This record gives sequence, C-alpha cells and structure tokens, in this order.
Amino acid sequence: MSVTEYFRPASVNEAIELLARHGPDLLVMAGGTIAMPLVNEGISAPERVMSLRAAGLDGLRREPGRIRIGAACPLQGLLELDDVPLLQAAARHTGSWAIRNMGTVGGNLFAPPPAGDVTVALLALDAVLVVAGAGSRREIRLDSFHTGFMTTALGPDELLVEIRIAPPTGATAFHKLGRRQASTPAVVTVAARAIVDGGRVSEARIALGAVGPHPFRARAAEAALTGSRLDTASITRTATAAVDASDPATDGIASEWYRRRMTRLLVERALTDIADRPAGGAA
Amino acid sequence: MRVAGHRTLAAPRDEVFEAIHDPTMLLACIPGCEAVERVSPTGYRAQFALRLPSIAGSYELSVRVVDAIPPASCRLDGRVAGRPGAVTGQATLELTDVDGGSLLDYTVDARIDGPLAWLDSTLVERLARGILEQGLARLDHDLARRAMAGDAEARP
Amino acid sequence: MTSNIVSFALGDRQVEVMVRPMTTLQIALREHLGQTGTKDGCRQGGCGSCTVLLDGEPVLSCLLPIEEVAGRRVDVVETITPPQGLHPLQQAFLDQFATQCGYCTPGMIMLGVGLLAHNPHPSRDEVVEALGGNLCRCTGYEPIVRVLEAAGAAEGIAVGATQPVGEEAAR
Repeated sequence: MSVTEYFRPASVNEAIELLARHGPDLLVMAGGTIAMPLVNEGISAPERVMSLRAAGLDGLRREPGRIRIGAACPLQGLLELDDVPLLQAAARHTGSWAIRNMGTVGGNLFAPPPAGDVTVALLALDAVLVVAGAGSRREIRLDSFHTGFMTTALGPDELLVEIRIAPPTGATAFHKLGRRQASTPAVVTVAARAIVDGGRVSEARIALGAVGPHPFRARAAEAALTGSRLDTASITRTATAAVDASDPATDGIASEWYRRRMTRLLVERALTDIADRPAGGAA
Repeated sequence: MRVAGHRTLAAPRDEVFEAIHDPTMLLACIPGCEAVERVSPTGYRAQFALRLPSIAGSYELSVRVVDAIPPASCRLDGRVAGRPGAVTGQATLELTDVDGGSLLDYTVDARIDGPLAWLDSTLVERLARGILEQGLARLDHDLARRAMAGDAEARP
Repeated sequence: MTSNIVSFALGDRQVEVMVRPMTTLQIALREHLGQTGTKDGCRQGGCGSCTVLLDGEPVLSCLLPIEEVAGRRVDVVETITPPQGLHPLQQAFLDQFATQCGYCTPGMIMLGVGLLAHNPHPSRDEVVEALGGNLCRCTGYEPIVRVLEAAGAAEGIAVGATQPVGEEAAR
C-alpha cells in the first residue's frame, strides 16, 4: 500500500488548506465506499489521502423552507426525512445498511455510472450544491454539476460542502432496477416528481440514472408531460421522450438494449404511480 | 480495448501534423501530463497523474513515433504504466483538410495489464475517450492561441 | 516508511496498533490484533463477511481506514462472546442450523446484534432488509432470518453493551 499520509482535517477551512497545499494529487474521501474498493483492488494508488469524516460536514439540518444536507452526511440519515419520501426511497435502494452508515450523500454525486441513485432523486428535487474554495463559497445547481463522464464543475481547489433542497411539492415516485434488491448497481434508476393542478401537470421532473455518462434530467420528457393530463397517452409519450434522451452503455450489469427497454418500463411505472395519487404522498 | 473518434481542429493540417508529430506538444495536452522529455529522435517520455474522483495514480507515459506520412497520418506506439497496471497500444492519427481547418481521426488499440484490467472495460474505454477528447480540446485551444499570437505579431 | 498509531476500544478493552497509513480495520483486526473472527471475503464492500459494529452501528471493516476508529468502540464476534459459553445469538445460530461453513456467520451475527440493539422486535421484512448486504452461500438465508425473527419475537435477546458509556451513549 502506497499511502504515506492520511489527513483528517477537523474543519472545512483546514480541508481547503490541505487541498491547496497538496493539489490534485490528494485523494479526497468521505465514506470510502467508492474509493476504498478501488484502493483495495490496486486500481487506485494514492500517496496522500484526505478524509472528510471529521470536518463537520456530516449534519442534516432543517431551516424554514429548506433542508441542508452536509456533504459527508451518511446516506442512512436520509431515511429519517419523512417529508421527502423520494430521498427515503433512493436511500433504501442504495447499498446496504452498513454501506449507508459509511457512504455519504456528497460522495454519491461522484459515483461513476451506473451508480449514484440518490443523485437521481436529488435531481428531481432541484437540489442546489454549495461548494467552498479558499475564502469563498458558491452555489451550483445539481442539474448543471455533471459535465461529462466522471467530470464535474468542481474546481481543483474546491470542496463540496452542502446539498440543499426545498421540502418538495407534488407527488413523487422512485424506481430502480438492479440485479438484486440490495447492494446492486442500477440497470436504470428513475426519480419522478409532478405537480398536478386541476387534472393537468403544471410542473414535472424526470431524472434518470445509469443510462448516460452521468445522472441527468430528461428535459424533453419533462416538456412532453407539462401541460398534459396524466393519462396513458401522455405517459407513453413521456416515456418515449425519456428513452430518446438517454444514452445507455453496455457494461457488466446490463446491455444497452435492455437498459432502453427498462427505461421505458420504469418511467411508465413511476408516472402511473403518480397518476394514482396526484395529491402527493409516498414514493 | 479500442477507442476511436474524431475532432475538427481549427487549424490547417500542416500545423496540426507538426503538433502531433512532436509529442512534446501533444502530451502536454493530456490532462495530468507533466514533464515531457525527448529521449530519442522518435521517443518521448512523460509523467502522468490520473486525477479523477476516487481514483488516483501516478504513471509513466512513453511514446514512440513509428510511422509518419506528413501531413496526412502518423502512428504512435505508447505505454502508460504505474502501480495500478499498464496500458500498451498503438494510436493511428489521420488528418484531412476540411472547411475551416482539419479533421483528425484517431484510433487507439490497447491492451490493459495489471489491476486496471479488473475494471469494467466499458468504464476504461469511456475514461480513455474522455482523456483523449479533453486532450484534443486543449490542442485545439493551444493551436488557436498560437495562431492568434502569430497574427498579432504579423501586424505592424 | 511512515506508520500511524491508533488507539481504540476493542469491546471493553483498550488496544493500540501501529500500522501503515490507511490500513483497513479489517486488516488491523486480522493481522495485527489476532482477531480473525471478522472475515476477508471480497474487499469491495459487497459480501458483508467483514461486518463489525462501530459504536453500535454496522460497518464494513474492509472499507474503513483504521484512523477512523481512533477513540471509538469496535465490537467484533470475539468481543460479544462471553468468557464462558456463547452469546445467545451465537447459540441460536447453532441450535437452528443457521450456520454451515461459518464464513458469513460472524458478519451475520454482528449485524444481528446491531439490529436487535436498534430494533428489539424486528418484523420479517425488517430482518430481510437489514441482512441485504450480507451474502451466504450455504443456508439459503431462511434459517438466519428465522433466528433473528425468533429473537425479536421472544423476550428478545439481550445483546449486551456495544455502545461506549457516558456522553457517547447520549448520541
């Protein structure tokens, strides 16, 4: 094993200082559920590692009109958000109990595809990220954060510190297809949210995971649904638009062909779930 | 593993050929690539640090120009090796003149050895493609900047 | 070659290890502390055979750098075994044939201890969900699920202290 230094900064400022001093050669780790398997396998060989577990980023706070999730908040913490069933469902479908005790919400944003199922739910919730650099903080919408395959808008001297959502309006649904019930990367993940007003969809979010270089919002599908009634025809149209927007790859989990078919199926299921309870409620 | 692609560069193919035939400039475009040195008339070496979320590693990159038919094509033999393993292969680069610049077609055939071979091959291909495309975008940018500087000098 | 010294509570006993930076808890337990009850299956976080309790919470020791347990309490199958005889959950596993080759068993037992401490009367669904990250190739899972369901249905199995006392316990 090659690690010569393991840092455990006690604050965000300390972490940012370390990042500035050691630059891009510092492996930044939170829960370790993504980084450690790669280190154990010898695929990743860092010399210096920085753990964010003691930096005060593990909180989950409610404030009027918003929920603030620390970047290093364990995924298990999301299970207590009874008013955000979409996140509860996404967390339940991520890893296992032990993985959720270690893996973090922030870390989930950096999971290589096909993983990152909590990210898919956060996209449907219009999450905003707070990112800190030397002496400054900025906000980035989650739906602009991922810029390509394993690339993000995070600068080399920046750290993700918080994820913010507003208590959601509308009805939500979460569906994930994997190889088994727990601890499985996704074939496809769908998180949907719709506000139904007088029988018509006034606002829609359809987020997809595992069918592109990163989790994304299927905007054409959202547009196809907005203004329509939530019926079989509009659901079929929306699912088609979602499949057209996706760019699935064949990997060890599933083939491109299968992913396309399952994207359609899961989008239809999610929207049918919402149609059955337009007043809102559990995912 | 095979990765193939293309990119239109906003420079005439003579210039592009000169740039890719001199790996000092080419390698400098690869994100994380440092300290390019020429070790022989056709051979170059560089240090390369992989900087992706959750994956770290230092590698040595060595490249040799095997074939060159200016300004149309060139072949490079290369190897990227470090503790996580090695990627050994060949890259073929072809250039054609197009409106506004030149079209660069690339094909890379490579073998992966060591722990890196445990990674899902589609992941490695997408990673490799990402690195190549970032490198070509940087090359495009550098050539454009050089052209602008050239223009600026040419004006009295 | 640098080393880090890390002190923590292994059950009720204070221990100290001197290891290379970022040595995992799994390796520290098995190779430096002689605690081979915690198994080494995949080192990927996929099999659960390395499951231990950290301040009462199930974690995967193969993914946990030893530095993260400094000053905290780690419980493993050895520390829940009383000086004489067996922990009631261990006895139940034996009595109900919920163990065959035994490789998944320490992980299953630690998870079970953690589950019953959090939720003394889990439903079958809750047991199944809690065990989702632990693989077993021998039993087909059913005997293991039945043991934990029965443990919940009876007066409950006293799981013993897996939390540090004092202010830590108030967390």
